[in-house]
Amino acid sequence: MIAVGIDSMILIYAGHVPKVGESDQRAKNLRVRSKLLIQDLAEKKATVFLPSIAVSELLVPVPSAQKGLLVAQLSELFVLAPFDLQAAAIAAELWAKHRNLPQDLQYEVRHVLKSDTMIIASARAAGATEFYTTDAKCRNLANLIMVGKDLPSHSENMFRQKEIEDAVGGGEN
Amino acid sequence: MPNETPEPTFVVRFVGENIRPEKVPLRAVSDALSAVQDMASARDPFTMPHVPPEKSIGLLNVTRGSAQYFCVARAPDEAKHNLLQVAAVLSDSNPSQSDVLIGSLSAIDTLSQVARSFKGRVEIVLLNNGNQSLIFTISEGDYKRVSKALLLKGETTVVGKVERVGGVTGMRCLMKLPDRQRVLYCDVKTRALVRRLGQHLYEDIAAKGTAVWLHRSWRLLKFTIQDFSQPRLGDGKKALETLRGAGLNAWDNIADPAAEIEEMRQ
Repeated sequence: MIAVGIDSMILIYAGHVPKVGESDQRAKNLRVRSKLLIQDLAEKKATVFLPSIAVSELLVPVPSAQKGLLVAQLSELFVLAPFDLQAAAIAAELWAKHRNLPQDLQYEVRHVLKSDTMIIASARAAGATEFYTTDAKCRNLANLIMVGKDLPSHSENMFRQKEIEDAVGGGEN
Repeated sequence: MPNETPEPTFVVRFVGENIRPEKVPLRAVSDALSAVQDMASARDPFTMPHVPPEKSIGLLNVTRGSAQYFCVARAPDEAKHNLLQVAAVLSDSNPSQSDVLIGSLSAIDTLSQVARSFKGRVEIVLLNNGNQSLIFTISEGDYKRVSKALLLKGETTVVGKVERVGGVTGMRCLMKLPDRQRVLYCDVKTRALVRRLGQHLYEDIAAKGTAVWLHRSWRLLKFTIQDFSQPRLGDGKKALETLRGAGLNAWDNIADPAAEIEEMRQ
């Protein structure tokens, strides 16, 4: 069984079609790679853990009337990993381990560290063995208790990659 | 002399009012002897699937007239040492969370259940050159006494494959978890849930329920399934379209999602 956790940014980028024309090449690149990851995980029939804290982030701009519907759809597609007792213990351990990281790999903002710690711990407690994130510091943090992974840079399926690149370039989903 | 009968190492003795060997269920004898063998070989069932042959226990002098079982250990000194360690843990009124206790917890549970089944107690007696010394006794309440400082109960989600469902004595489900050697024997809350689980044999599920963990290692000891689901991405492209239709497209109005998330986390 492939059991992976993802953070909220991956889903946001994978589903993002900006209304205003986008000139930021980095954001475009992240959208392509996020879509690639979701489609690759789907093809591998992976069990994907989306921490409930990440769900709350996803819901922020969603209109109130649609929040319930989005949660229902997310629960059909992902294991929504709660921040339970075990996750709380893992988060505390992760927080302590972070102090031993080299200074340049440590978080500068403690609030961000706290959120990321809780998100990673929730995925690990639920059974994820790998964690995908777009953020390098978050990956280093995940690496302390599991395997932190970056988005794929390419797909083994070149037709899929081309299709996604064309769609993102043309502003489609 | 290769055929010489070896000296027994210890005795497992069932003690209770009016106890007779024919009244002791065979299952209780088998469970108790297996549990004591685990203790004597320091086998932690979570990390070692079987007792290695060089540490196994054999029976000696089995005759009618008693409910005591003379056992011979292939590694007698080690067996005595391990049993004495268990004895030390059990004699402590407030046992510490030692590796010995954690490793022998499952065997203590079994022996407590065996003791309850014949309303008596199981005694372990060491034998040394014909001398007998009672080193520990396990009664019905002992598992509860020693485990209460070790266990933690809480709601959680467990992901794994359904291997077997049903059972004669209760509603059970066997799950294979990705990061665990042994299958997990789960209780199932309702019969309707057992039937639903039965339709998903050999499939991966995300089960929600109540877990009992060893809090030092977070080893999952018991799990009661209250509900389950089977989240699947299916077709990745369609999944993203579905999510956008359900409200994820609200992010289209946000020019810099990364900055927005960072602000939320501060």
